[in-house]
Amino acid sequence: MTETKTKFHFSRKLLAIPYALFLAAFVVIPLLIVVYYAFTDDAGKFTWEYVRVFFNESGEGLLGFFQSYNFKTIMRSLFISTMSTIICLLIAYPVAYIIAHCKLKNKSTLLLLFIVPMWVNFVLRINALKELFVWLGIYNKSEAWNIVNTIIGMVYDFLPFMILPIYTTIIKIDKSYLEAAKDLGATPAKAFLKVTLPLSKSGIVSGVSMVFLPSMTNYVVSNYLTFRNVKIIGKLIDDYFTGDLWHDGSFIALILLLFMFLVTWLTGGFEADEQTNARGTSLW
Amino acid sequence: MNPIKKLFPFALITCIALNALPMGACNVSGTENVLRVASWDEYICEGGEDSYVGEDSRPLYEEFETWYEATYGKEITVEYIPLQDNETMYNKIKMGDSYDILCPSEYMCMKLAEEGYLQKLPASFFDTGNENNYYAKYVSSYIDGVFKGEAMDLSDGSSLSEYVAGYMWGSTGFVFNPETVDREDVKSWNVFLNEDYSRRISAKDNVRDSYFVGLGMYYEDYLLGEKEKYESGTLSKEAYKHELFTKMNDTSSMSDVQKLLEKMRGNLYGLETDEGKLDIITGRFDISYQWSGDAVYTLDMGEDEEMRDEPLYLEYCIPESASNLWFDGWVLMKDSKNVDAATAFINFLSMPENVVRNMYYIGYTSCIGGDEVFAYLEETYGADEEETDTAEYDLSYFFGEGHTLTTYSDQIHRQLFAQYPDEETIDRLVVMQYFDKETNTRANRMWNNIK
Repeated sequence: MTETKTKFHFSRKLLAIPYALFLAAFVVIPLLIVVYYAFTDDAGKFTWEYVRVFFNESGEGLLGFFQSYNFKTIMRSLFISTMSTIICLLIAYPVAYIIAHCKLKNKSTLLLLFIVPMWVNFVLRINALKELFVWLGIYNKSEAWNIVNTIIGMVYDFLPFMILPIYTTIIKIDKSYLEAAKDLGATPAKAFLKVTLPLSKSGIVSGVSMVFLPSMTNYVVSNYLTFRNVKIIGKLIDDYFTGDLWHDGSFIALILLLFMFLVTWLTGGFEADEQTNARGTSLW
Repeated sequence: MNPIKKLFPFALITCIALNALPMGACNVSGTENVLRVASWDEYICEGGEDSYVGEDSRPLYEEFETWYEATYGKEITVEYIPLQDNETMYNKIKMGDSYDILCPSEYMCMKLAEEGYLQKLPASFFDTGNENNYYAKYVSSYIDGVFKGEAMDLSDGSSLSEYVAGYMWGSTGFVFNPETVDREDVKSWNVFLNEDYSRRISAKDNVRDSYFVGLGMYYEDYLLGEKEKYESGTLSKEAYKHELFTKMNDTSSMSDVQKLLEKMRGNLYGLETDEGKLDIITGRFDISYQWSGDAVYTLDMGEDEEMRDEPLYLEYCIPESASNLWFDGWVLMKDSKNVDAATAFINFLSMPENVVRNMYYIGYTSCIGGDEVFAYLEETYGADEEETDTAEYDLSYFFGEGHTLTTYSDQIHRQLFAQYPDEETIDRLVVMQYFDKETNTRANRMWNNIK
């Protein structure tokens, strides 16, 4: 009788346990540590010091912040990641669209062409790109070129992350919608704007967040491609950490987190889109 | 031949991620016959075909196991753990990792000693009467003198020399291309502000080296004046050295230094930790601020036929007013249970034949003197008998009276000078103190707002 009671019932919910543990160990706990470090001093007492230092580095109050080094670094990071995201999107959408709609039997082969570069070690690829810039004579040529080179590097590095989610959403769009649009008299352009584009929105959103956020922090790209002449927010955090200034670094990491939430919120990442969920297209 | 003392921030992040977790593994040196050695990558002769004694040789830490058993009749296994940089080492120790013996740089030795992580070397270690005390017998009197100087004083009244046995040492200075750069210009720290070299010079991406550069620029005129006084005899050697030491360790003029560093930043090609060595050879810039060990490596590479079609004969120069004397030394951790084996390990590495092997393999300069090391220098830098363009290079400050090397005259500005600066230059080298918590915070915030 007791046997039946203790019998192990396997349910699908149990499959979530490993992921939940992973999430707790590598996302939730580290985040809490970052928050803790940002607002406590070495003795573990609550302090606003790191907030004050960050916003008042020049000693001229909040107005001085807008001329400060930290502010410039944040603005530079935002500019680089915004440009990288836009360029990625402009390249990735047509590519994903063409692959999804091409008549080839094996589309995944085409897709592979864009993914294969990712198999090569990323530092190696960035170094190769650096040599290319040197050869073209645009390596560390001026401040403006350094920004341009960083953006090229980010686009090169993160393009597949934009293509993949967009491709998966477009390929799942029911062809009959487009046929219906055609039957009702829509031009191909109109059908694209009214049907394909709105239905692939979830892919765009996940692509954007997968490019925008990493390109604010991936300082390996900016370090290698500009001889450390372009500093982005990820490098700023790292500099404080290597200098044994964990509290300062943690507070800047919180600022970065704020941007993350902002981007997710603006792109509607918090809204549960039932229709797309049912289709499984928000996988990416 | 990977350089040490490098900041590998990317690797550090990983370590941080691992160490930040409270459940991070704690390695405790509990077992008595395992010697845990924390040092740097490729910072000991690993044997094989790149070694001085041929391809059949084993790494020195493995040979130590055999030697230790033969000499002391006890078994020991060495665990050689290469770490990325001083900061990684510090963080690991702070998080509870435990080793028997470490090889940090001078400032980290001081910091660890001040924070109570280290134990003093036993008195028996310094007994020159014991034939197995190779360190005490062979350490260069110059290094010994540096260790006994005021730079090594700790806040509790003891001296760092009671804790540390020197391993490798060197200076910092400029590697430059003599075809495009005037040697007189790189004798001055202010070459960093010299607009003739705008975007043709690289500096180090770390706070300590940068701050030192800033002090060098700030106090250059003053220290040159003191040097003149010293040379004319109106200032005693002690007073001059004290002046050098206090000025180049000044932390109160940070805001003035900051202004100079800001100006310097605009004049640079860029900052680097490792890339500078290659890029000066490919000619991307003409002057690079380097540690002497890396400088030797860079100079060697410039001559390497595989690197360039035409050899590039770079030179090394140490600024006229003052420069940095750095060293990496062996220290014992407080909770080490293998003090005997650990001190034997230092002695084993201080045996002149092993010193030669290490110097050949690593390319850095050992703190150990001795005739065998000098013979190795003669073999490496000594001029052939029929050679006419030679110079006498006096190394008696390091190896004792009567050690003068007949070398090719260009070596006076090249590898030999980088490995062993002449006595006059040596006088101007200053050991940089570690930053205490408050200074470290100020210095990092200052530097992070510049670069």
